Amino acid sequence: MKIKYLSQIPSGKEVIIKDVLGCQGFKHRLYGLGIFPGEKVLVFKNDRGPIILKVGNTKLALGRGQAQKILVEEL
Amino acid sequence: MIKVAVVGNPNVGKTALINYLTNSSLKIGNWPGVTVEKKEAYLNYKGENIYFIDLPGIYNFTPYSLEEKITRDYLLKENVDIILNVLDSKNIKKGLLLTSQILEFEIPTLVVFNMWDEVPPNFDINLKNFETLLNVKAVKASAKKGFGKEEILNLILKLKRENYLKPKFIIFRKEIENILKTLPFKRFINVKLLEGDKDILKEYGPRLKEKDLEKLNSQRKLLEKKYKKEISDIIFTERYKWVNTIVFQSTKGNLDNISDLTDKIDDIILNPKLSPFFLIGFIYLFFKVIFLVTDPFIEYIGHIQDLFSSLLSNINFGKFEILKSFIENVFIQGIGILFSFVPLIFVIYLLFGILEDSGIMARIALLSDRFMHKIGLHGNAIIPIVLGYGCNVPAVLSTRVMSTFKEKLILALSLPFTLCTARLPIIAFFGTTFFEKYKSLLTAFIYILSLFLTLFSLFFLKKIFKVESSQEVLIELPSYRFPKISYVFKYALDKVLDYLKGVTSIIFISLLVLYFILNFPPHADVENSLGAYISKLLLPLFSILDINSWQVILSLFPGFIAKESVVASLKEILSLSQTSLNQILSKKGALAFVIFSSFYVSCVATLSAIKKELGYKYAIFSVIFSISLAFLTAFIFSNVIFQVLSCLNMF
Ligand SMILES: Nc1nc2c(ncn2[C@@H]2O[C@H](COP(=O)(O)OP(=O)(O)O)[C@@H](O)[C@H]2O)c(=O)[nH]1
Repeated sequence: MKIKYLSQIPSGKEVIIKDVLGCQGFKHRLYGLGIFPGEKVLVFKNDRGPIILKVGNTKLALGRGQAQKILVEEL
Repeated sequence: MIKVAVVGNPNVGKTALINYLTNSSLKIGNWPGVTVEKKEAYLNYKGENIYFIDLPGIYNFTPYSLEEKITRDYLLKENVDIILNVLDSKNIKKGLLLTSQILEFEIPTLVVFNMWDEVPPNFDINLKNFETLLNVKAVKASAKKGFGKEEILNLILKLKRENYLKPKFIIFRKEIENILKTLPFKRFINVKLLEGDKDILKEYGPRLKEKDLEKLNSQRKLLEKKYKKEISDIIFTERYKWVNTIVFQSTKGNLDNISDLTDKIDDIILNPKLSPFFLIGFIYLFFKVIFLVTDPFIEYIGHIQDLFSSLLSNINFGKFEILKSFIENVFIQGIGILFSFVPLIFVIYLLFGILEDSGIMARIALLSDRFMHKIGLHGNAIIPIVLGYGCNVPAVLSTRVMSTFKEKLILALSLPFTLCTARLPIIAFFGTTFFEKYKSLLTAFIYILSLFLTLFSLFFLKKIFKVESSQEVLIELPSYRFPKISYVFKYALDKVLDYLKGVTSIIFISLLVLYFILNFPPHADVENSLGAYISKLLLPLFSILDINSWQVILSLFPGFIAKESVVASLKEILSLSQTSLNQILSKKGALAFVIFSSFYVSCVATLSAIKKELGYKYAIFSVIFSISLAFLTAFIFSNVIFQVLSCLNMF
């Protein structure tokens, strides 16, 4: 399976989080929001602007730059 | 009294739950010194007094945000008897990640699985297993549908009676436990010390022996080297593992991706082709409603003020006639100003409450973020800025939507440059008197100038106060829900009282000062009043702007009370000193005056709102800053435009 950046995943696809890059502060915030290696998330929308994820049953909007720091594997 | 701290992620229904438990006796205030809301309530249940404190919603105890710090400090220092940990039952994993950290405070804990009404029928939690695994009490509840109350309250009493119920926190891998064993504090502190949390190290580090502290640091380094990861990462991994185990051992069925109405609506609203229309529509509707509802009230309050004035004029003060104008200009006027904003503030907070509770606010912030980000602000700054073009007062009060104090600061100090509707009469009056043909052009120009100045001010203050460029959005979009109207009403009412408390003193002080400027010495005519004296002193300064008459300058003082009164008082001063505006002011001076008077300072009420949100220091800063920027702008633009126009022979 190929590892990609979250920003490259089209709308409607489910992915497994592989790794979160960046500083401690950023990583911890994402961990707290449920984005942790091994967790499954759904890319709800990825067109222009922020990417919208579904993590568990909450939606999370995050900027493109941040999505480029998240490594995922498509399911 | 039993002190119960309510802790959980944002939007899990903490506030709703406290309201439900205490029959809606929630009080809203602010945490000392910061703008985060503080909500608390009291209840007497079966003869026991229970105090509930709603701690700010958080995801972690890292602490990177003000909310995390407030919650952490409260749990560490305020002798909490019981933690009421609220979870959204549809998002158990994320909730439990926080629970794993809450257990480490070693305070008896009651876990409430709230929003149980929304859980699909094939999912269930085995509460007995859960309670045994964590050594806590647990309840299923719904603040909305109204079940779980008796059980929660009885468990609170029970936990208090059997004070020994110490939660079972996570036992980490051996190497970590061996280090933690050597530390003398509460579990939470020990873990944070090992992780190297700066705040905690600073506070608790010195209480360790020097050699123990060194040992801790070297052990941390050793472990990090071995695993090639920071310790906090290793600990997070163990927490996630624990969460998965708990979910596996105490729940059945699954909660994956419950697709609901929210998803269907978001599919449409967040569509990039349609979203601009929704955004504009929302904002338009927002203002339409505000002014539709408040306009009649504002008129009504005006009538009441007139009524008081006429009542007053019928009273015979005899020798103390002078007192009459004092009462009228300071007290009746002040009360008038104070209350004229009440309907506006009430309605705006009502709408805010509805937008926030329904989940719409998060979407507005998200949709605005795309273009607000370009000017270096978060999406949620859109509301205060747009509000400012209606009235600066609620705009300043609404800067609380900003997530950090500095963002709030630069926004609140820039808002006085947004052109509120009260300034339009000045533009209209001068337009008619001096630039008949170009009146609408002048209005358009001032509007553009206002937008430019607002952005410039934001940019400039950002540099001055060293605000980091806004980071990208990272927000949760809560599910759409019908807002609870009774709660929203109470919220708006609390906010109005809060406003009255916060601004009354400064409004009366300002009015008092202005009264003396305009009416001292008593019985003097305008020409010899203190105000005229000050205006004449200012003449050399204003002559830079080609404004060479003290009468015009004097009219700026009442404009400070309310911008609307600049025109009225100018007319009055002119008639008293028997001149006309054309005689004493050049066209260039008139242009400079329009620009200056539009931006020199907002009004007493706005200033008091700034004082309420940021304190006296920044209110004074705001006055100096707006006057300087307005002066500079008036100078530059009146000269440039005058030059250009006289070349074109348009003047
Ligand atoms: N369906 C349902 N909605 C709830 C429940 N409790 C709260 N809510 C709603 O969830 C939203 C967030 O609640 P709030 O109390 O503001 O959450 P807080 O941020 O944790 O204080 C509001 O719209 C509430 O009306 C519940 O038990 N069931």
